[in-house]
Amino acid sequence: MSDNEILDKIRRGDESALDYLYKKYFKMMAKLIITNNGTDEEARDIYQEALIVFWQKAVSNNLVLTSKISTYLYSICQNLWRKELDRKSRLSYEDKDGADTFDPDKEERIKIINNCINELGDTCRKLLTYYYFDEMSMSDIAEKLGFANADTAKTKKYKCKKQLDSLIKSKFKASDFLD
Amino acid sequence: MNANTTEIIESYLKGELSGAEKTAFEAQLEQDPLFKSEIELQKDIMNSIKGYRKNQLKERLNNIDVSATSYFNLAAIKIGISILILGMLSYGSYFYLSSEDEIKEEIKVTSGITQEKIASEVDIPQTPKEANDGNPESIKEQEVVKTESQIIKEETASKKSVASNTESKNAKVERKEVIVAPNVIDTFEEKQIIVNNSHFDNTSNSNTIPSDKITEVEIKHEENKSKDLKYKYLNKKLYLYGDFSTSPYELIELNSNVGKKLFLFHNNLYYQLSESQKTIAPLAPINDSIVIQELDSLKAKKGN
Repeated sequence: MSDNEILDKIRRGDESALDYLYKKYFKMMAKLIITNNGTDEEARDIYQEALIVFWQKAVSNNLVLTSKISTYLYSICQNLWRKELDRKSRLSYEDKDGADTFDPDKEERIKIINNCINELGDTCRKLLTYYYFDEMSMSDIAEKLGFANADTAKTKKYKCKKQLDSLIKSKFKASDFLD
Repeated sequence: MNANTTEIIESYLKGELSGAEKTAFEAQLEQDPLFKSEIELQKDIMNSIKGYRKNQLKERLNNIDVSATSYFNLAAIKIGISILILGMLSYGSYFYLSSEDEIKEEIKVTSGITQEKIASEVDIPQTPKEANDGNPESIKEQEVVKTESQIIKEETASKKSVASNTESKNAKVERKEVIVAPNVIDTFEEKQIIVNNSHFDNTSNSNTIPSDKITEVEIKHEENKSKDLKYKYLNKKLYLYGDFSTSPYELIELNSNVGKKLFLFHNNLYYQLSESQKTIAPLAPINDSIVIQELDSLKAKKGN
């Protein structure tokens, strides 16, 4: 698959393009991480993250590619890994500090939200995730999820979001969180 | 909250508000704490939805097996093992597929070799008692070697005919066997010579024990071109490692009332061998002049 073919697939939301890129360049990316104090597992994590960053940019049409895809992915990996190494070295200094910046309330809130997302129906969840993460257009979403048109999709999205909001808020009330 | 507000909030959180709109919005946030907490919640919800999608994609990638592409190349090892198994299977099937007649011929040939081996082993130990000429021995050895190579040739010839009769995949096998055969001769031959030496050398003089009692030391020589000479003494066998081919070596046995001591003489140096040396150790030359003198006299007495 050529770079252009890959980009086309991504813009259509075809996730198999990701699979392809993952397998094709894994060795190259793994080498970068492993020769820089990384483990095999870390290499996997970093490359997966990099691919997802790439995906998000490409699928939302925010990607300005001036080089090969592999070069672009490589530089994302470099950045991510550098950040990770910095984080690791800071952690060794701030062992105790880290615990203080932990916000238990926020953690609890996020946990509830995630639970509710999981409780949503498939269609609603897909709609919301495609809308917020992939930033797909309503017409694309309509096509992908089988809605009549963009407007139908838009309405459905509004309804799904409302559903999620009330689900979350009811859970909050139950946990007596908001005083 | 109506649809309009929701839209504005979303635009704000996406960063899509213009400068003026954004300032107005943020002013409202400061004035209305409830509104502010609602925005915070909406922010968390949006991030969580994104996070869910991220995890979904990550899981998808994580399930793809790329272990073969990492440094630990499992695929290459799997391929290597399967080739090995294939090789072994074809080797096995080669024998299985050969007709009965040819198997009988092979058995005859191999038993012929074993018989020859036994014969030559019986012959040679007797020769040290003869004059230390070396000629009778070498002729015998040459004969043995000759017949050995003859038999090996016959063997490979018969195997070649067998191979051509059976199905494919045996070409590799045949070649392998030819390679193996010469090695057999080499070590066999060498062993013969060394056995000669040891038997011969151990008719050495001893101080208190009568000289016609020959202590047999079985020697195994590991062919090695390294300059470092090493040895080990395991299960009553002396294993020698290293390049001894520069000059002949001699085993000298010193029997005294404190026991038996074994020495090796090679390249004008004496080395002491310990019979309890079970692991490979380098040969250390003896520097003690008194010991060297005594060993020299022993060697002279042997009438080398």
